[in-house]
Amino acid sequence: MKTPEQRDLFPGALEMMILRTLKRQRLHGYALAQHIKRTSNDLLQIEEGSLYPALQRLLKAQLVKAEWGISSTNRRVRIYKLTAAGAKHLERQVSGFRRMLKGVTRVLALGES
Amino acid sequence: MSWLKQLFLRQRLYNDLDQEIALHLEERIEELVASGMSVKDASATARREFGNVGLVKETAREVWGWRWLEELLGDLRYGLRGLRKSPGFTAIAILTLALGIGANTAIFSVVDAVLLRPLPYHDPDRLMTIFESNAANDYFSRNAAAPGNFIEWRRRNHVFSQIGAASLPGFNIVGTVGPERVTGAAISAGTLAMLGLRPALGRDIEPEEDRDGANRVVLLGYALWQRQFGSDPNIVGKTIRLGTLPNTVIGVLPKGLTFPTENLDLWVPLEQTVSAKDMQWKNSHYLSVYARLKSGVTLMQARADLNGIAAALKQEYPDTNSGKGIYLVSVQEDLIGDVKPALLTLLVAVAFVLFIACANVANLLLVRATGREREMSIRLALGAGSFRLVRQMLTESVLLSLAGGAAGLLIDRWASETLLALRPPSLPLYNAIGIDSRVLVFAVGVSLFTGVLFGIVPALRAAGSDLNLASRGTSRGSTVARRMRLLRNIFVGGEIAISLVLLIGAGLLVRSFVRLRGNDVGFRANNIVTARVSIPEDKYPEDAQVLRFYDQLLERVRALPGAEEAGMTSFLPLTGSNFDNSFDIVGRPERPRSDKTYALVRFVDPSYFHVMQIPLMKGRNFEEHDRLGARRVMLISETMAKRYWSEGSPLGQHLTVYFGMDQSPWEVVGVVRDVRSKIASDPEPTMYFPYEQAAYRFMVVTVRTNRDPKTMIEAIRGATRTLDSNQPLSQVRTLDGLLEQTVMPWRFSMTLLVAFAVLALALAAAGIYGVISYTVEQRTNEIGIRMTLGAQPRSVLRMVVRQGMAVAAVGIGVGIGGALYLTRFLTSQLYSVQPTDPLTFAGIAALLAAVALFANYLPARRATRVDPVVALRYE
Repeated sequence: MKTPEQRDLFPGALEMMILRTLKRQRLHGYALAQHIKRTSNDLLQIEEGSLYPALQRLLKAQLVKAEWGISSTNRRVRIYKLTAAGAKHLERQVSGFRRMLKGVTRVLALGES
Repeated sequence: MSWLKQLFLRQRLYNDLDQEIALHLEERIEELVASGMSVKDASATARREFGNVGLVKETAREVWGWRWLEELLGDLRYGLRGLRKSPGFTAIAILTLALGIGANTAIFSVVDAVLLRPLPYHDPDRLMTIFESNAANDYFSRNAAAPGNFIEWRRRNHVFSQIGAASLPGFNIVGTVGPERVTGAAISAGTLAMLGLRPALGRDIEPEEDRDGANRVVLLGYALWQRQFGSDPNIVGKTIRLGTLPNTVIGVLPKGLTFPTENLDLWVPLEQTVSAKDMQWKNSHYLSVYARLKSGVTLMQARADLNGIAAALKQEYPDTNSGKGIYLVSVQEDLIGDVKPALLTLLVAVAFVLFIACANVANLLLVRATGREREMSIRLALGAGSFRLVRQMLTESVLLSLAGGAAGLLIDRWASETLLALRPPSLPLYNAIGIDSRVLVFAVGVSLFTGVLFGIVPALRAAGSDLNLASRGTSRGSTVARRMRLLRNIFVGGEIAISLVLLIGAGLLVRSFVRLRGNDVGFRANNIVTARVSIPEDKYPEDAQVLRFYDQLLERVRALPGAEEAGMTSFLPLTGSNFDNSFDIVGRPERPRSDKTYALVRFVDPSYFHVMQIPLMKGRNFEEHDRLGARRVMLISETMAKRYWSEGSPLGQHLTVYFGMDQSPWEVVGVVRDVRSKIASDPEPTMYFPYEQAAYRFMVVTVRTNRDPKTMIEAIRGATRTLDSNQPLSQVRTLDGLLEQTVMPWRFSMTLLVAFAVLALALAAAGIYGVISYTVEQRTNEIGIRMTLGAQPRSVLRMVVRQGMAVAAVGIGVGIGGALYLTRFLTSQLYSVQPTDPLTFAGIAALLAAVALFANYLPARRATRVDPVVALRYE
């Protein structure tokens, strides 16, 4: 059984993707899950359910806000949007992630050459 | 969001989450159905993609950090449900714990009030009591101080910021209700302030009022103010008479003030009751001296300073002060030193009772845990952590113990009242006893501790359950069951050992008490009423007046219906060895001052020995003609006769006794049997003088009656009033009552320890009974087989009983070992019984063995009634 803590992603990755997605548009949970799945080309094997604990963490840290509304398909949904703090947090996370990625890539490239 | 707000919003957050997840699944299913899937497949697919819905919800909730709280609530709910499901178990466990915790709380409330809480005075740790000590014999003896020495200490010391003295004189007063004899305190000015006490009304005594010949002032006690003066708010400035002397009321002291002792009614300046000349006396010892240590001065430094003063006084006043030391001790130690051992014993005893209660409940839990092994195994198999299970079980036991504690507080209320009723005079109450916040905290603390104590072993056992048991479905014969049985046996053996220790302790105290009560006090106490009649000097200044008053009083009392005989004495037996005096035997070499021989002094009338039925051993009794001015005669006690006339007869011998103005010798005309002045001490040498030859003013009237003592007392009161309507009685009581009061300190510890020991015994018996019952039930199958194979009921009975008695025997053995070690701490509370008294040890061990046998036999007998057919089908 796979628990959210044992997922393939590194800690914080899912939150970062959620924030990034919400930066572009407000979405409800289902749409958010589908969007991440689609845009990652199903490369990341995320259980849809694991989205929700992540969303609760973001809510608690006040990086996102949620309110009940009506979706484009006329359903009652809970729509998430990024807060100002969320946007700032995302920027920091992304640049940190880029730096890390650069370093890791270099090390890996060395090994190959 | 604040933590608290989140907590209240919790339910809404959770609802949102639940709805959101439901909607998520719904949307996915719709989408899949739209793409041509069947509804059934679509819902399966949606769920597979989503993951474990329950787990997701739980993880999402955990984000908010209420897991501990929710688990606790869950545990509580679960625990409550479990307890409700087995009301019999719950009731027995709660009752057992209530007894244990209630007894502990009650004793704690006394120990807290008496030993732990500081005295209700300002900075009580630095308050000291100063005694004179007899350096020659007993450095630590505590004697009252002579006024002359108090003055020297006050003048010479460098270690006290304040120092004051007090005596306890009696006064005849007349208030709005009638004449009354009250006890007051004569205190140095500033003594109350030193203790941090202030009058509730009016003002304190001023230094210039603490002088011979100053304006006479008095502070009233709260109770007296209410009783005799109708709580008059304008009492300050009014004049009341103490005896015949007018005193101005300067204030009323606060309610419940207990300085220097309990039950005082008024306070006057010391030096108005002691003349300036008498204040210089170093020979007459009657003052209690209190002092406050200067800040920075230690007890040892203060003692050194006082020792220096004592040495100087010895040099300067060898006549009075040779062989005299000064002993300094804290007020706290002085007041409670005597009761400390008894209270600590009781504290240990109740703790023992609690351990036994715990062992019993732990055993019940173990039995229950065995019944729940499958449940536990299943929960373990389903992934519950064993830590989680232990916590769950502990929650349940703490629930039990808290319920037991709550029920215990009910018991405590009743127990505290009983304790107060049994309270001996030596147990001072400077702080109120009752359920206050400290006692509540203690009760909750003990409950929690108890819950963990009796819960931890069963909980660990349960959590360590064998996973395989769930599938096997029975624990019969498994190692787990065997280990459980061992644990139960250890608990029961422990209970027996502890109750044996308690029972032996109680047995020793009972034997002491029986010995004490068996002491020949030297007189017959039944049907005697007594009352002290103190004749004030200001009203009856002449000795002849005093004698006439007492003669007339005796005459009238003798004429009362129901009065068989009436007599008088200056001091009753059993009221302590007060008033002794040195003497010399005429014709023998006079002893030097520092090496005088002392004997108790008693003034009596001729009838006293008849009333008390104290037999005359030699010579003659006093007679009517032994009056003031006649030949001076005396009687002595047997002990005195034996001690000083080991050869020859004391009759006709003459003694010089150093009291009064006239110190011409007295002739011994008779010897009477000994009476005890203290119940636990051997009779002391005693000298009796005719009261008519001393005109002593504080005589106790003793009347042997064949009526109800109460009506007799009223009749004596009436007879006194016909002589002088303002003459009160004091210390009105029956001799039986006095005897009871004398043994109260012993009765107090004995009664409580016996109660605890019996409680322990009952709990231990219940424990044995429970364990053997359970064993029999568990072995029904095996017993059935044995009986089918031809075992006789007798041998089955013997087999079961032997097993139980083996546990009991080990328990008794361990208990005897423990008692041999522990009873030495009881030594100070025993009276003519050794702490290792073999009779007590053997008797109690036999008693406990008998009880254990009985508790074994009852359930074992059931085993013999097992029907083999039923037994084989059992389970």
